[in-house]
Amino acid sequence: MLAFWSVLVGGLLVFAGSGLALGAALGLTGLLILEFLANNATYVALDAVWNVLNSFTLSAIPLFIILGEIMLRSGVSQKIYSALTPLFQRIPGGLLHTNIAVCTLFGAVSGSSLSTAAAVGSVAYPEMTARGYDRRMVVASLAGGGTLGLLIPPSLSLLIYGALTENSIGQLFLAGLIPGLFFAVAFMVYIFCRCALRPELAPRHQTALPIKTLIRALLGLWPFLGLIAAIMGSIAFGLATPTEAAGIGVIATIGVGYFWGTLTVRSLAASLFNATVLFASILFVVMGATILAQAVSLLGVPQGILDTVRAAQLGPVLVLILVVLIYLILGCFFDGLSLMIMTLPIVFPLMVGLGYDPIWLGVVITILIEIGQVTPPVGLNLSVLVSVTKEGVSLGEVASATIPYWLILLGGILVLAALPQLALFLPTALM
Amino acid sequence: MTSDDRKVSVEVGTDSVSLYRRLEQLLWGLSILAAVASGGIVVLIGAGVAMRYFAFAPLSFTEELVGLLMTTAFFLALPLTTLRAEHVRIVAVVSVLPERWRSAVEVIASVFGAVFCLWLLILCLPWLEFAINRQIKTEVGRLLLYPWMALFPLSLFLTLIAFLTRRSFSKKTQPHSASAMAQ
Repeated sequence: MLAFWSVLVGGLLVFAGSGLALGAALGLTGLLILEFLANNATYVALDAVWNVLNSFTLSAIPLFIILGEIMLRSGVSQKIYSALTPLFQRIPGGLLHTNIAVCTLFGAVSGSSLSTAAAVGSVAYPEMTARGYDRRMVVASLAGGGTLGLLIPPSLSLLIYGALTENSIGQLFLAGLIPGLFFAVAFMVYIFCRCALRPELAPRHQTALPIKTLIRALLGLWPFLGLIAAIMGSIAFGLATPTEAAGIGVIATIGVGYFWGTLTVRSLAASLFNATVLFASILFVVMGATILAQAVSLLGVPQGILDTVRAAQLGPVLVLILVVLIYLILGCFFDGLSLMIMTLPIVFPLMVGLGYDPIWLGVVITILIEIGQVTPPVGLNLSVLVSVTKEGVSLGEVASATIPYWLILLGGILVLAALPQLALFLPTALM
Repeated sequence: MTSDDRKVSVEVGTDSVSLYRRLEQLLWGLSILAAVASGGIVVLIGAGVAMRYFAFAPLSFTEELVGLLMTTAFFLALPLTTLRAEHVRIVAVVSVLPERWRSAVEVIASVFGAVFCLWLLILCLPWLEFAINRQIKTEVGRLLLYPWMALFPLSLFLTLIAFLTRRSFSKKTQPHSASAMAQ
């Protein structure tokens, strides 16, 4: 076991620390373990990689990335933002609530946290700073709201989690829905309280818009709401697999883009190209992690760790706390999806072996990597929003303003640990 | 250095840059094909769903072909992703090193990347040979697998070249990987 840990930790420190592509770092470490600790079993790597790469479930990933790219480039976020703006204008927090609501809706089709933050941020930030909103509050609401994109289904992290651990993607998506909405409400409650106490953070709109105007604006969103219903409904009611739902979602998004006149052939081609390059870089990490996972399972490491934990009588709760702490620390250095992919081979069998529900665990791990998205220095939501503001707000300022959202996400894990049914109710009831 | 030596060195440099440009064009071309494969996945799924619900005649090979197209898209786009250094990377350590050390460490990282590709490439050849000899096919659609499998070693070879050449020609560093945008 000592030799294994030496090669694993040493290999990752040297290879990943050198700035090598993470997929290659994980794969090279896996090959070294297979070669020197598993009797030259490197040949198993190829079949494992080929089988994972050909998985029909994983093929939903490029489709959801394409979907997010098309929405980002076709200006759909502008439409949604304009429609939802009048709804929250007169309550404390005003458009900050709109940010959360639009991120929630955008997350319900994009599956990606950063696309959500970037798409909504590029529309909201100029508008809100011009209206006199506090810049740090604006950016923090976008950073926090952006994390919803990763939890509210469809979610890339739940998709990859399901594919790598062979759990039902439909159940995972349904499990993410209530916690995602819970976080959206919690973020809004925080914004309401903060802005009620300090009204200067968010100016309030004094004149009320006629109710007809509000309803007309919301009704204008019907193609988009139909898209959400089609994607989620088809998965929840077993009409389509997640991959099919994503494929139909892409076709419908293209239709909506043309219907609204916001999508051109050029932007569609650019979306396809960029999505494919993005997807290649994600799948390279999956490829490396698959080789490492093969090495780890061939040596029986997860079972060894489980036996050690049981012998030490640590108990499931203490192990959960340790796992949360490890994710919080690693989240400072790794981006979310990579962190999940590289830790799953050890964390998943350990936690499931201790009696945790695999669907619940998927939701908790997704929340943990969401926390990583807003933790400096690697917190990608923070970085992308700094660039959206054209460095009008520094990384440090965004990070400190996002601390309440960070704490709400962490508190959400406590709530989920106490009430696992929050995540498990829908998949149990509907599937 | 004489003027002749200088001329030769400039010509060699120009040739290298020209070769690099050709490599870049090739990898761009392959990535465009990868994007076409991604588009193919969308079309195939649309057709599969339409056939199932409207013609009541589901396509039996959809799942297998979608998987193969996804693999194709990945293998064809991987070399360009490597050349443009758009991979997920941990730059926390490298970014705090002095410039001279940073360059040296990045060269070492590129060599590690090349070693990984070479190692897998060596493993790949007998694996592909076996598939060709046995004429392996997919289970349901009976699609011949080796033309798709051949993309694996090809992609590894081009990625290896990309790892080795990008440090020499591409000085552009990118703080965030492309994959980060997917999160």
